[in-house]
Amino acid sequence: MEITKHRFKGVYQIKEEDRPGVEIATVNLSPGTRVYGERIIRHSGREYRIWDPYRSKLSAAIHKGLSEMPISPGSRVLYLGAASGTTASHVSDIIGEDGKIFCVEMSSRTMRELITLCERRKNMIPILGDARKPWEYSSLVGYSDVIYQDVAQPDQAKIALENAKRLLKPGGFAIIAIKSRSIDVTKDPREIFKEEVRKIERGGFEVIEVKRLDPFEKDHAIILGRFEG
Amino acid sequence: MPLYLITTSEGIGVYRDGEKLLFLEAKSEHIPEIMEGKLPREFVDEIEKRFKGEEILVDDKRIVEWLSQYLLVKLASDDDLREIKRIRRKIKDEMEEWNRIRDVSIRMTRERIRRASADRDKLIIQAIEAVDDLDKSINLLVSRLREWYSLHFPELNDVKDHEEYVQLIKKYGERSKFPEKYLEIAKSSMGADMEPEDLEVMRSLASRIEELYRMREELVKYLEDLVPRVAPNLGILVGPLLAARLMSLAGGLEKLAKLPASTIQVLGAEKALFRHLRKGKNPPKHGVIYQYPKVRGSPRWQRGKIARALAAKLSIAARMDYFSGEVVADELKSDLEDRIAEIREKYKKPPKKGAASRSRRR
Repeated sequence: MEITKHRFKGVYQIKEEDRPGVEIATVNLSPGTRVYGERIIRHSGREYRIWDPYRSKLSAAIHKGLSEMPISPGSRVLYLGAASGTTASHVSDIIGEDGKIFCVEMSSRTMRELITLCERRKNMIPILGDARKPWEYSSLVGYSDVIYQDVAQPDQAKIALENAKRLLKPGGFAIIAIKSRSIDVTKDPREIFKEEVRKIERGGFEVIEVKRLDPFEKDHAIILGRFEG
Repeated sequence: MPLYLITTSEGIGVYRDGEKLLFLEAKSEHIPEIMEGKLPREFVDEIEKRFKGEEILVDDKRIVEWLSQYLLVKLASDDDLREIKRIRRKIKDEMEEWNRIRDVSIRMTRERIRRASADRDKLIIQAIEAVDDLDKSINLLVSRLREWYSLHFPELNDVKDHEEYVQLIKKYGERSKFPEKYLEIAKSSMGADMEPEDLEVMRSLASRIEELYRMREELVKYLEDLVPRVAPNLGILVGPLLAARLMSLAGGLEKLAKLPASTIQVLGAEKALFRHLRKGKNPPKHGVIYQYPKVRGSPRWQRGKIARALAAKLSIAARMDYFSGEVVADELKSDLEDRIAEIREKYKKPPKKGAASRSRRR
């Protein structure tokens, strides 16, 4: 087995003899516990959690060669639509003990699982709230270096812009997962991605990259943008 | 330069021109209050003492509403938000105690989960039933109004849309006061002339009916807000109103989640179902899910098949909502779309007579 550093800080590449391809992983901030049944590999005193691209869109984007990764050790991240914490837990691993992550999730049922994760990981704060109403958590969050958004709502561009306006520092980044089918099932995904990019640019972002996520996720893309302020 | 009221979990500050005029530090027990959009009483007193009568900008609608009884507060504009964000960042960088706000957030979240799961579907059921009650009342009152007003201006019954009809009467009353496009028919109307007080009472009824329409809109908005929180999958799959109707017919989200898809398919068609079971007539193809556009809008012979596919997806959605909370509705929706396309392709033509009308007698 061979473990090397990925060009993104806090991310590792793992090549195992008996498995095809290279996998990516993060170092477990809460050793001995799994979050979603991911494989764990122990190697020279460290615990690596395999980051499944079929389960996490951010992992899929990295596998597909995302050009830049704004989430790094020490980042302050606002995570919108954290769900039960699959991706959020890897973000928590990457930013490490000096990083901070605010996890906003609207469904109280999902939050039940997320909150136990937040209790184990000292860099996570749970917020049971609606990403459409950022003023309800602005006094707690204050500002962020990066907004990661995965909300699968038809008005997702608007949600991202409202949050950026209030809570993203000038020069900060947004990583937005777009699911074309939650905007309009009948339209061509390419058209939808273009339209979403336009909306985000109009709201003050410089869009750096649009990454399609197939074959890991059908009709999905990740938009990476820098906030001009 | 305006005054800014900046709320943070570290405390409440009043700033002008980037300069701190007042800062009241928050104790741990104050944080939940601040997060809920309220300020501690003693803070309000302090701010009132210093800044009463001056215009203060805040970025939280809830605080504006609540605080305007004591102070002259306004909602911050987009430009103000930039400045507010800058100051907040400074406060956070200087004062944030991570472990403290984390402990408070976890405690608050637990409390909110407890409150949120306390039978919120009961609220949905009441609200959707209120919508139905309003529809019934509106219909009843509109037909009364139509009959009544027709004594004066029967030709206006050509306006088929109830809401439009009501609004016209509320706005103009007397037929000679109607706008250009109605004047011709108004002049040659067969209706009787009326005294102003006769018309006034009809206009009054019209304006009450209009209020009922507004009430209905309010309820629908409330449901659009509430359903995605309680049952996100059902809400996305069939829209908040139909999702609410299904919960109402089943008697709650829990009961809906425990129903088989075949029962969900005929929820709301109990009369037809029991007629089928008792007398062996044809079974109903769909209950309230008939309201789903792609059931209602399809040819008769496809509806039953589409209703069955939809009911199966609804049953999965209800179970996800009740037991897990994970949002899978987009997958369900696209699977359903695929299946509907398949049905439309495969059963383009109506079935031959005879083959379809086998009634199943016992």
